[in-house]
Amino acid sequence: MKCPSCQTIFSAPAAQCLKCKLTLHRLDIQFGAVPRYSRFITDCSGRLSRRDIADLRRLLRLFNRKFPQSRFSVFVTNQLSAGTIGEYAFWLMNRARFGFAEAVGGDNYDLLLTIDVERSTAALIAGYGLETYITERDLERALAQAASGFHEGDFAQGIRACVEVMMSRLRAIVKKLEETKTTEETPATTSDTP
Amino acid sequence: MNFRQFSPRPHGPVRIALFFSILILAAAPAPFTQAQESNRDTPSVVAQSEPAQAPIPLGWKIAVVAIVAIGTGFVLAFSLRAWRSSNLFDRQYRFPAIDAIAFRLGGNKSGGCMSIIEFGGRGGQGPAVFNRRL
Repeated sequence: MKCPSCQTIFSAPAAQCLKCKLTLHRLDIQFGAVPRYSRFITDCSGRLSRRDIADLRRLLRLFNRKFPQSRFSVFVTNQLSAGTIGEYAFWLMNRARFGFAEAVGGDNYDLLLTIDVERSTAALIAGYGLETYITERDLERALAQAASGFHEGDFAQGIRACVEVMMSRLRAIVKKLEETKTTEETPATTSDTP
Repeated sequence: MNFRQFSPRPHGPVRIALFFSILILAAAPAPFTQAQESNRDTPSVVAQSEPAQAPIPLGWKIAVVAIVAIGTGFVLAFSLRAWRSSNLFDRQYRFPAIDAIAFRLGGNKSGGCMSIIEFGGRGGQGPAVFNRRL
């Protein structure tokens, strides 16, 4: 795992980053109050049209329907004055209630895509629950698909690409888990029958 | 084929019973009591020889058609809602529950498993730079 601020890799869970001493509490002081946000998608930058927001909300609802434990949220901002996008995404993910309030720790399968349109940066962060199943490389691939859309200023297209990549990846992971479970159960079932 | 996957639709018979009860109510004969009583007051030769067959008023016909239409609409709406909520073809994917996780950096929802991208292509770099301090 890496520190959301200085990217230092730490092997064991730590209460604060060993290098930059980052904690969530420090970010609370840095960012202040949680900004206003809506369900699924929030656009503080005004770069997304109403139609785009409606389309994306529909896509994110579909994601939530396909993966009922998980909620994919998108936060687009242009007001990130202090801190890095990594710090902001980490803080927002833990402080805002995008998903279910009771989904904490290993029960949190949420994903949050934060885009800073002014600084041209974006971060995709996953909850503790997904850490067992996806890697940072998976998140990186999803962002890579979104990069061209973001670069051209078509944020809706970029977000759509990112969500679709994650949807496809998560679907493949669950299917693989189910197949593994089935192959593990099959010998036991056949041995029961005479 | 695994037939255990198919489960009976909840409230299916109730909806069918509701539909048929509406149809039966709609098809019930119109009340002729008033017409027959008025015939009794003024007996005629024709009335005595043949049973009186008063025509069904237009209002009744319209009412019956309206009731049937509304009933069918309700049944269709309920069926459609049940169909959509039953989620027959929309497959859901669930992750197995995992063991307890140690919180990192004070976060109780996420420990910072993330990827970062720069898509502006600043400083002569390409459109995407990953996982740097941005």
